[in-house]
Amino acid sequence: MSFSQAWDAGFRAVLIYIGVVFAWLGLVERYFGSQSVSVVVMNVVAVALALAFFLRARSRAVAERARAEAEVRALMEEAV
Amino acid sequence: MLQRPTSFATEALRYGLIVLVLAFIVFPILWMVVTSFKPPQDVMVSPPRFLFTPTLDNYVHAIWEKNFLFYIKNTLFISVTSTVLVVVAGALAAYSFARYNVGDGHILFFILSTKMFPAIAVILPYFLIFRDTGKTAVGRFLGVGLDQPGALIISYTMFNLPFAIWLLVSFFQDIPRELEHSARLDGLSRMKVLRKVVFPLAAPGIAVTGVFTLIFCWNEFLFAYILTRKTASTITVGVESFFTLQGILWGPVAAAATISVLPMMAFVLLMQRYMVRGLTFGAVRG
Amino acid sequence: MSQSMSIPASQTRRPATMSAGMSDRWFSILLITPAMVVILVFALLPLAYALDVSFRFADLTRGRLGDFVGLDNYRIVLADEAFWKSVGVTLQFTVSAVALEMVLGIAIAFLINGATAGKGIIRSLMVLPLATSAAVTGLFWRYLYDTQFGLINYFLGLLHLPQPNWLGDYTIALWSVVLFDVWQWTPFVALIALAGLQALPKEPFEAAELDGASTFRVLRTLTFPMLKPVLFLVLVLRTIDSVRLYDAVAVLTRGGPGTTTESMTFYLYRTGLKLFRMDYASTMAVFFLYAMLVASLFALAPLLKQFSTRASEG
Repeated sequence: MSFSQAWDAGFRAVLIYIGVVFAWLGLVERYFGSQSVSVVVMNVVAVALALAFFLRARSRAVAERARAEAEVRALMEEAV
Repeated sequence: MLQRPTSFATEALRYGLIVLVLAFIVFPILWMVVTSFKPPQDVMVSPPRFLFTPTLDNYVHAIWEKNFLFYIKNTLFISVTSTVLVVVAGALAAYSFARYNVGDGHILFFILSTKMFPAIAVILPYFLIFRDTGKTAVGRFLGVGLDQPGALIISYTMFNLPFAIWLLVSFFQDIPRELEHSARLDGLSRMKVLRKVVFPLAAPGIAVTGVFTLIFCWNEFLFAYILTRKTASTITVGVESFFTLQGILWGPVAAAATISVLPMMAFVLLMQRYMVRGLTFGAVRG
Repeated sequence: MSQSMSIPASQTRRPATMSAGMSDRWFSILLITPAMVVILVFALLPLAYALDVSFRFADLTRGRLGDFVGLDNYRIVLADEAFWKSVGVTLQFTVSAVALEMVLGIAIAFLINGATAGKGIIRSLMVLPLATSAAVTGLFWRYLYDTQFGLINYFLGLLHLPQPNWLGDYTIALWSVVLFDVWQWTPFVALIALAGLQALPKEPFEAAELDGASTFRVLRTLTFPMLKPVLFLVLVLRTIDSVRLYDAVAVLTRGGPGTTTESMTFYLYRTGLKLFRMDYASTMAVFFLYAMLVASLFALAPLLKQFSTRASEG
């Protein structure tokens, strides 16, 4: 994964984290008895989603790179 | 497009519709200009009067009693200063983005996202910050504070830079690289190449960007409304001062609006060819 | 200048390497420094400030910024009905204004594109509203909308149509703002759609004509698919602008009557600078910013990237 891709995915992951926080405060928190419990659960959920997004982007980038390398190798062998 | 055989009837219908559309678009502006020449007693009448003896009373009122030239002077100073700053900083940066692709597109898109900032979101911090800097000696000296021109110049520079950079990048991309290469090989330094080869070639694009920026600054309302009260107010805020206890003085309002709108219209007509390009951040090169 | 450039490149390679005092990389960074300093300082600093205030108690009528209150401001704003109402007004305005502008603008573009003569003058007249400030012409539109002296109601009266109280009626006021916006921005859509139409290649259309395809089919299978990127760009640009609606509301209605035309930006302004609750206003600003950031990242950036790569290839 190049720096450029990591930057992109990281930025989007941060946006996802913030989005989850906003949605949680607006929609979900009212179903919790205690506010502090809600905040903890909220952070866990938000971090999990953001991390999942980032890891998925990473594995995709890695797979794409592997595919590109395989293609180049195939072309080289053909040329030989 | 297709040149199908067209009957006279469809052509007549087409031009009829076009005239209707143009009437809708032009009429409010035309009525504004017409109203500005009406004698005061003919402005607030029902039904509206279409025939009257034109006078300059409204202009006299706007300029002498409402001191409208003062707002124009402010606007001119603030817009021109911001435009110069935007064009200089923007052209340097845009050239760098167009030729060297600094930051691999990421910086360019970060810049775009600041253009998407709703102005209202940064206006509260600006208000608080300028309120504080205006009280310091340095801030007062530089004119950076509430109701001082520096505050608006900073805001306008900041808010027009992203647009200017994007538009200028599209103009720099149109210049063939070969010229710069050969100038470099002739032994000119990078700075000289910029000054003597690139900028002269990009002059039309730079001028267009400058005019767009000037129009945006000239027409800006939100910052001017919130960050100024009296001494640094621009025309868009100045027109608001025509609200009086007796109601709105429509004649002078029309005169002031006409004065402030006509120069920008002249600019727009001059650069019609580049309108589409400018309005789409350089994306559509129509 | 022009003489020296005509010298073949191979003969003059040496001096260039000698005069290069700086690498391309450093030179390119130096060039963007002034602009980046301005943007970083005057965009990110206020943002950080707004973010800071959104976590504090900040009632300006009681002096300086107060203590940290965690996420409380966010909870309060999210539970604030007036806030959601202003969001609703903004959405209603955006959807109706942008839809009208797109439909009318595209129709006008087709109308003008088919015209044989006078395109130049038509275009010149069309750009005029774009040169005007919404704050100035918007103010004058109040005169047009006036129930007593206004021209619009005068014409409606001539046609024996009802003469509504454009800016004073609860059910109509927002539509009056929409109408003003449509007046100012339909030419924008029409102009860009027209540029897109005129840039279309001729060959496919000639081929379609030889095949005897119907006008409707040509539109559906050729014209609109080829225009789509341009139209989508216009749509996104207009939407982003409409969501930030402030000027027109400020001069036409000031949010009234009641709060029926209070857009999100206007409510934010009123909360921060009329009621001086900087904390709630900053929180709304953060919400707003987040929405715009997501929109520009997922809608605008890919679009502009697509256009700019196509241009640099072509």
